[in-house]
Amino acid sequence: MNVDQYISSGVLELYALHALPPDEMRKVEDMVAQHPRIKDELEAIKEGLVKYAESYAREPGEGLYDKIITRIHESSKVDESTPLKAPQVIQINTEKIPFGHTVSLEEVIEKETVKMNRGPWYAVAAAVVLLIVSAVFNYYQYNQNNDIQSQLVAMQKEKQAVADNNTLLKTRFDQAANELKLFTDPHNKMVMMKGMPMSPASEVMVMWDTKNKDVYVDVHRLPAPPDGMQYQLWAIDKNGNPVDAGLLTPFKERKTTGPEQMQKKIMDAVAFAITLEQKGGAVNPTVDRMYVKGGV
Amino acid sequence: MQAVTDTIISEEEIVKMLRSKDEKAVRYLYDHYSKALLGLAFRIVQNQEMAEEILQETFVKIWLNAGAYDETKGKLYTWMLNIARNLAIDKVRSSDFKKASKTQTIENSVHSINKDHSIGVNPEVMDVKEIVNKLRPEQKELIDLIYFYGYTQAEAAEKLKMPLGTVKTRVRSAIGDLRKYFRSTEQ
Repeated sequence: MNVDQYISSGVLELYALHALPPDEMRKVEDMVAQHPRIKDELEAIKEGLVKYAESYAREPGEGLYDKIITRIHESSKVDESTPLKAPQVIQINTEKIPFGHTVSLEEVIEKETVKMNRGPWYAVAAAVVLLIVSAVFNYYQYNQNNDIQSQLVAMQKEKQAVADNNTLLKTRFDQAANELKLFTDPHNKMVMMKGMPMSPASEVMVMWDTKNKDVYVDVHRLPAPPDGMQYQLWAIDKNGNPVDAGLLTPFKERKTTGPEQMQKKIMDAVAFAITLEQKGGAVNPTVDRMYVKGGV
Repeated sequence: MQAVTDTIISEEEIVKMLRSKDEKAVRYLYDHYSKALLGLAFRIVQNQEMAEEILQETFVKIWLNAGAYDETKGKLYTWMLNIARNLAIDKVRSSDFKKASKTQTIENSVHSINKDHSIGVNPEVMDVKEIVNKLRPEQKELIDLIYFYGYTQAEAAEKLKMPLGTVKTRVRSAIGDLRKYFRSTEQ
């Protein structure tokens, strides 16, 4: 890629916005180091962004500077505090003790204590430093605890969402598995009912389980029935007589998509057909409102 | 507010002063950059008090971490802006912020920001503001998501439902427009 192409790719802008993953950031830095023109371009982009940020400048409230200075002093105390001194080993200078003079332990302790008392500043400083370190540590722990708690809540929510999604997927999967069973069961007969002259585009599949005698209807295409009307499925027996095979649930009332099991069992059929009837169905089919028909 | 430190000090000098813990550096940086830093923080948290708190934390960080600042990576000012921006984004993403502003999510504050610019605005930057307002709303939204809210390229693409490559070209054209407008006012 040449320099012009690189400049016009938009990658420098994203770099200036800190919107690139770390490895791509490093690649940009390599390019900037190699090509002065890319470096200049990046500077100009940064300039533009800085101006953009400046366009939202706001006036700070009174006394903010003093607050900052106070905070800085506080932070420096912790930051630059005197390191803790190693414990002092009491050394008894035996040379200075005249020969033949026995020294009691009390005497030594008294002497050394006097020496130590000369620097009580160390003790106080150490105590203060420990106190500050402990306070900072506690504050840090407290904050971290809060963070962990909010992370926990977020994770629980996420877990719930995943579980909900799982349930939904399982329902869909079961539905799909059932449909697949209908298609693959050797006892099932598939009957494709094609559109009749009054509705040539219509198409409905009937699946008839010849063992259990259950009938399923899978509507591919049918016009929505007018108000007060309902589709009815008929099985035609070998004598040519229509047998009521049940009513199709109105499309709007169906909770699932896919095949619908009919309320009635069919013992014997050579063909299936669907007619449009008054709501609730008819005893005999209205043949001139036959939408689809197909032979077994 | 009139700047207390009027003399111009080089950036190199300021960094040296910061590292040797010279408080005059803080005064100088405050006089020159506090308005911009505060504006940036305000734009993200949408609350003056919180923005001022962030400004304080920003200065403490600058003070303590001046040793970690790398001159070769960019200007001091950019470094400061990034510190303020990151602190503000952390704030917006923290749990107590969400509690404090139940109705103000990141998403809708992006949109409400644009209506808000008449309050507390520094008159010196009014012309800059006009320039920024020349950007198309979708350009502004994209820049704001990334610059003020810390979205990555991929997150912005997902949020705005556009391909990664489109984010790249749109960001480029938006910043290109910004540069063009700024240049035309400088002449």
